[in-house]
Amino acid sequence: MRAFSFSTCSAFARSSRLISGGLLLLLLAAAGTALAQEEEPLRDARSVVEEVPAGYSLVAESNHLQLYMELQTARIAVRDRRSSRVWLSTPSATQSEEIPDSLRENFGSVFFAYLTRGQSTQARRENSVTKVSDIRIERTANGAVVWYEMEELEVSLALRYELGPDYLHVALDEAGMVESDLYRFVAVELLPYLGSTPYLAETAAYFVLPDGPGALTHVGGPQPGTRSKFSAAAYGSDSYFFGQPPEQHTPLAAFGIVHPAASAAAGEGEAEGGAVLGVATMGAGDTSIEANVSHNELAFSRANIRFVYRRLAQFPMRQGVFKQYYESDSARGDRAIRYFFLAGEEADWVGMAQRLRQHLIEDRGVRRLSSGSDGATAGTSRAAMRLRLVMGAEKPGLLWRRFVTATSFGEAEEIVHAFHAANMTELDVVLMGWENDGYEGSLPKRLPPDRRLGGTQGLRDLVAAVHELRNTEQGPGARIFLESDFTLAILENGGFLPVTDVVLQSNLLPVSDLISYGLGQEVPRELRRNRFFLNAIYATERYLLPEMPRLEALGVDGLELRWLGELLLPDANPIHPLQRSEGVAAWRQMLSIAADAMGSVAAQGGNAYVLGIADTITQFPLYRNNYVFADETVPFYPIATHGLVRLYGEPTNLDDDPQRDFLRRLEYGMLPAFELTYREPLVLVRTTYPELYSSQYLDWMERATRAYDVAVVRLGHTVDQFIVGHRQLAPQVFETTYEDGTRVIVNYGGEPYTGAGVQVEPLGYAIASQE
Amino acid sequence: MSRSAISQRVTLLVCLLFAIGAVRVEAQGTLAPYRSYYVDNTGYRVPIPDPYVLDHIIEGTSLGIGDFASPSDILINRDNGHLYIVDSGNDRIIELDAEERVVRQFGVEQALNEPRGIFRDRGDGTLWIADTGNARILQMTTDGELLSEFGPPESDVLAEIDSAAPSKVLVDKRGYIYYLEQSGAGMIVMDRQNRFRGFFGANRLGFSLRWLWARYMATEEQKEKLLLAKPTSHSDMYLGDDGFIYTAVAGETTRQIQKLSPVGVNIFIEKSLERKLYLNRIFGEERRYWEPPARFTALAVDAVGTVTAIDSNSGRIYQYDQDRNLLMAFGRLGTSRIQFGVPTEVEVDSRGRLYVLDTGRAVVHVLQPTLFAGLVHRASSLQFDGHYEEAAESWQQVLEEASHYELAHSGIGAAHYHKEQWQEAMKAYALARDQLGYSLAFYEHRQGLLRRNMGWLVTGVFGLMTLVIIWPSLARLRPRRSKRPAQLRYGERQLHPLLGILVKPVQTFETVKMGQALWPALALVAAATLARLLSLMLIAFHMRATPSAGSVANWVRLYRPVAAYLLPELRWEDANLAVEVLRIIVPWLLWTAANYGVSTLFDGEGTFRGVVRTTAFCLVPYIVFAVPIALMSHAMTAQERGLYETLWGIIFYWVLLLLVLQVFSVHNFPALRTLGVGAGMTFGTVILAAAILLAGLLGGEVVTFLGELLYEGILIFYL
Repeated sequence: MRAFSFSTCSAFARSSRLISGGLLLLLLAAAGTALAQEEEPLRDARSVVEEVPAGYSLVAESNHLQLYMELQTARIAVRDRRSSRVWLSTPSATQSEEIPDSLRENFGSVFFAYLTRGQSTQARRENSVTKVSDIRIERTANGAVVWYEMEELEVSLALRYELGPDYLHVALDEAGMVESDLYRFVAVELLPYLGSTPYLAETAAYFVLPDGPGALTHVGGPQPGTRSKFSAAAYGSDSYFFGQPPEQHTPLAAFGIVHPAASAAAGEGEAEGGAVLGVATMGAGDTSIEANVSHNELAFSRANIRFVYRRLAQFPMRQGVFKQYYESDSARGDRAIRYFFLAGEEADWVGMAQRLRQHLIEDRGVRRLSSGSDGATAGTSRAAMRLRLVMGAEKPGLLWRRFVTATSFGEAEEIVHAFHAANMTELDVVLMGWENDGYEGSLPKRLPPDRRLGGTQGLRDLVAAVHELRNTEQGPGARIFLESDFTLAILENGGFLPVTDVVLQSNLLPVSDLISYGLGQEVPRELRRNRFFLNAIYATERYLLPEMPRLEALGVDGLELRWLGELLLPDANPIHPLQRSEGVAAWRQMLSIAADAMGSVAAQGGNAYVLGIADTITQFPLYRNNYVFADETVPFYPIATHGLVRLYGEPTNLDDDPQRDFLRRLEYGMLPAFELTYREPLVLVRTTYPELYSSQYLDWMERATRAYDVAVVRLGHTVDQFIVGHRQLAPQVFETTYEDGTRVIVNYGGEPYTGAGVQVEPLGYAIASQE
Repeated sequence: MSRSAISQRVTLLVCLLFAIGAVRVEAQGTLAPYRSYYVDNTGYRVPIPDPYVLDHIIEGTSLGIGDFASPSDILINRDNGHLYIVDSGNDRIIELDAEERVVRQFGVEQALNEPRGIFRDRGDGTLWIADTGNARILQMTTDGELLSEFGPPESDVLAEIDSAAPSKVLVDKRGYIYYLEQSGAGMIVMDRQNRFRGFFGANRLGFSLRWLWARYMATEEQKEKLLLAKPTSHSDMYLGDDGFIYTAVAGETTRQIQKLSPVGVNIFIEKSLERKLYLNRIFGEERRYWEPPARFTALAVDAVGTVTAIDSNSGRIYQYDQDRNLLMAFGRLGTSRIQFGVPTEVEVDSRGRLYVLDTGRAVVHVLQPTLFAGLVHRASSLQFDGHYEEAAESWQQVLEEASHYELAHSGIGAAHYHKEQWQEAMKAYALARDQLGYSLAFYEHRQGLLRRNMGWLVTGVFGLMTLVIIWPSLARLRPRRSKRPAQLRYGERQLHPLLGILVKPVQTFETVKMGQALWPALALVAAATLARLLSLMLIAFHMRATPSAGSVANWVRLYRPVAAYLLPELRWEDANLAVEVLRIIVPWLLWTAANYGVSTLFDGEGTFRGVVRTTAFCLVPYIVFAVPIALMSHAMTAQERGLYETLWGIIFYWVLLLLVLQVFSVHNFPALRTLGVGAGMTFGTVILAAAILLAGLLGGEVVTFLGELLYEGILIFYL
């Protein structure tokens, strides 16, 4: 084992001891102005490097990759042997002597550490050069460990590199992170410039962002001035306010950068395509996906995963007065990112999605939906239309809360029969608001099924009636599920202590409606209920486990759990504190308990941690969330998960744009879902579930038949298949290809499309099988 | 005790503490739970299918002309679909063709300096530009050739305005030029000879005591400082195809959207019947939701007169039909679909697409109407044009998309109304909870009923009159039967006190004050509470309203403040059982206490029991008549609201009169003294109320403190 060490003591480093992050930025800006007058020293539009620069030595080697490291600065380079493309941690053109030290040190950094001091809202960004007093490199079997020490700040951290067949694993072990009383870690970004693109690069490079189903941002050429930054916490925002619709759908802690094969015209010669996919494999809950585009010569377009250790929080000083600063407790645990390198044909977002799928299967134990008809699992790995039936809810009355029935158990039976009679046999019937007092009525308790809907016996009869519709010859037939919420709890119903049993913010105040009522709240006073989130472990022990036998006794085929796939909150609960990453484990445990007991569990929202346990994801968004930073929505997540899980979107009867959303669901391989009632949704106005505007089931039979015919009858066989191809055939015309060669072509445009052996009408679709 | 039992108890306790506000945390502003909604006739938001979807975004970089910089206005030429973007920060105007290719850019030739407004004269097709930085208005051909130039007109009135920079411009059919002064001085009209022709559609300044004080009491110097209150200025204006000028007024809470006739009169105001039902329609929405009132900064009007307006506070877009009904509200601030940075201007093209200029992001969002919006627009314009039948068909389709869209039910009601199917109309209006429509249909229905049953009615009335006339002689025939021995001080007959209090109050008080039992008093208060609840429940839906004392003028009409306080006319949805009960019990309790206390000081003769009993009996008129009047509302229409409220007023003043008589007769005060002591008692009541309020507030603080202590205690115990 060899160890190198050296000390930086540049004049700049010493002089900047007192310079805070803000000042540093100012300096950067000043340097920038100075630079702008010179002759574009940074403007190097080449984003492809084919030679490992001098001074780097080979550290590890695998099937497809070679890891090089510059032994003085610990900068790395990864050479892809398939394309001989070299990925540098430090952009090649940035180390010129003309660039001021500060900038050069930033560009040369293999990590950014954000540090805070005392009770502050400020965090300073440190690179791996300026303040680093000592770098120690230790070679390991297939990589190296690099220790960085910042003597002056009294902090140090260690990066562990491991080279896999086609990936580089970079770990940030908890043991290697030392912080002082002086400075504490707020966040760390690893390899910030890997795969980055310089200003105005003439490139077709793009970022792949896990925004909803997936979003692409093209980084070549001039960028709109208002597009600057993408920042989204993986698995959703960690601050939650009631009344705010869940906006942030970031189902994955992953990002991608694609450099497509350059055309000869661009003057880059024979450059092959290359792509890098970064996936957080440890501590994924405490990350945020960051991306920037460059607006001037002093910045690069780069994308990255940021590990979050501390968050800003409001701490109460006295009544009504809060002070904001970084919380003192740090998120625990090791962190790691795996960078998958793709080359050649695979080097695009579709290839990336497939590599992600492979990673999910190989490294996370996610199994493919079983295609056979082997009993229990067969029912949940088949294509079925999801029929969510809204049963009952409560609304305020003059004297007491009034129960409103939208669909009784008996009426639900009628609906199911009507669908069955219309040849829609593969149904997953999901009951919502079946609980005592209806939707959210008596949470945290839910049993027995509300007597005004028919009671326990009514539900049993309904279950029996649905099970009778099972047609063993053609398939598993109809199944019935219960949707419920093991997360929300309503204060007035009792049964929990809103101090020790609920999710607390890091200031030890609960996350609650009650608390957000302070200012602008859009729920009218008379409709408010004081809702809290139960601590996940408390909810499991106190409600999920004890209730499981009773739920099982109802005879239903499975559960659908609200919130689990879309919400992840850090919880400072005094009895069961849960960091976000630990919250992931708690959620997974809840899903497993339900899956083990009932045989099937569905999660609302598609956060990647539900994969492998939940066989169904519901309410997955069809659209990206960010329309400023991202350019297009692509089925990145659906491609990565199709065949592993059944993906359902928002109910079809709540579509924004019925025609296009129908096509989009086909393109993305998502199954149809409807949220229906027996009565007009008028009855649900001002209840706890007022979201429906058109759900009377007779209004939707026709459209449901159409959706069923396409997605279940014609495409049902693809449900356990992987998507192996996705491409754009013409403007607004897209093709999705499955393993068995089935192709689905959708046309969002106004012009008919002819080609690839099919003809597609405007706003139409075509299905072609490989014969 | 098991843990869950403890938890239940502590939960209840903490629940109580929380309810009083034990822990308050400032939360970030929360956002609408619905993406798109309309506001129903009870003021609640109800979700609707998204009326618009984002089609695409227009931004400068991809057009190849560089980013826009603080763009401030857009214009659609509805004839050829060309889009003009006033790119203020770059001193240019960009013209895009229907395929969104850059046709030309104006600016350099004309030496534009921060232009902020553009208008196209549909008559001659010329473009008008508010060249704000140069303080001038330009008229150009569509090719960019300068035709004429106007400066701000010379006028003494305008001389007082510090700046003179037109920010929005339009030209009406008569050729007058209207512009908005950037400083907010108002909408100024000038002619083509550059002459000032006056302010247009100026908003009235509201009444304020401060202003009144300043007007008469302040010195000239003080006035200089104080009288700065100016009427709110228009924030945007738009020339509709109908020749009316539509304006948005930011900073007002009502009448924020105006439709000004050629003489400057706003015709977008409540009709008299709407005022009668207190349907004071405000734009934006009712204050049921805790939001600042909408601040409309931009609007556009399509060919049929649908008004689309942007609320800059919430980033929401509100759309109104020609009759000021809110059709839909959608969009908000944010980065997602149909979410804006700083939306500042809106335009609508001939295909119904909306163009929203987002100054914050320097882009134009192009929104495509969905099936739902298309149906609503079609139905509402058909209805406005009087094609009720066709409109009803469209409304029916709307209901398939959104089953509780009340305007659709109203539209169907209107179709029935015009076919003179009153009962069907009433049914539809009831579904729509459209009080006005229902009332109108009911009026016609009632007329019909009256006409048809005139014979019976006349016979009935005649019979009743006969009965009244011959009753005394009939009564004499009946053998007299008396339960109680005659021990009367006054009068010949013993009336039951409940009836007596209505007919002969003074004598009855004399009897009542003698009694000892307190239960009749409690029973009466309970009965009054019950009467309140019953009448609340029984009032016809079309006569419900939330009266407000409103302006000073309303206080002259005595029934109005009464209506505002006492009458159970509030909307059913707003009813709060506890408050309704307290409205009866608390005043009675306070008055009784003050009555006894004060009378003791002034040597009143009344005993405590006497006072309690007699004050309770004062409620009898309310107990007896509240329910009948509530029932009567079913036979009344909005036109008769004055009568209806007067009836309530009569009961109220009857009760007040009884209270005065009660003081007089229970304590045996002479008449003048009664008035003095009565005033004392009123004062006492007020003082008592204030004391209780204060105690309540202080108590609340103590409870808050204890709550926090408990919360911290539990935390410390577990941590």
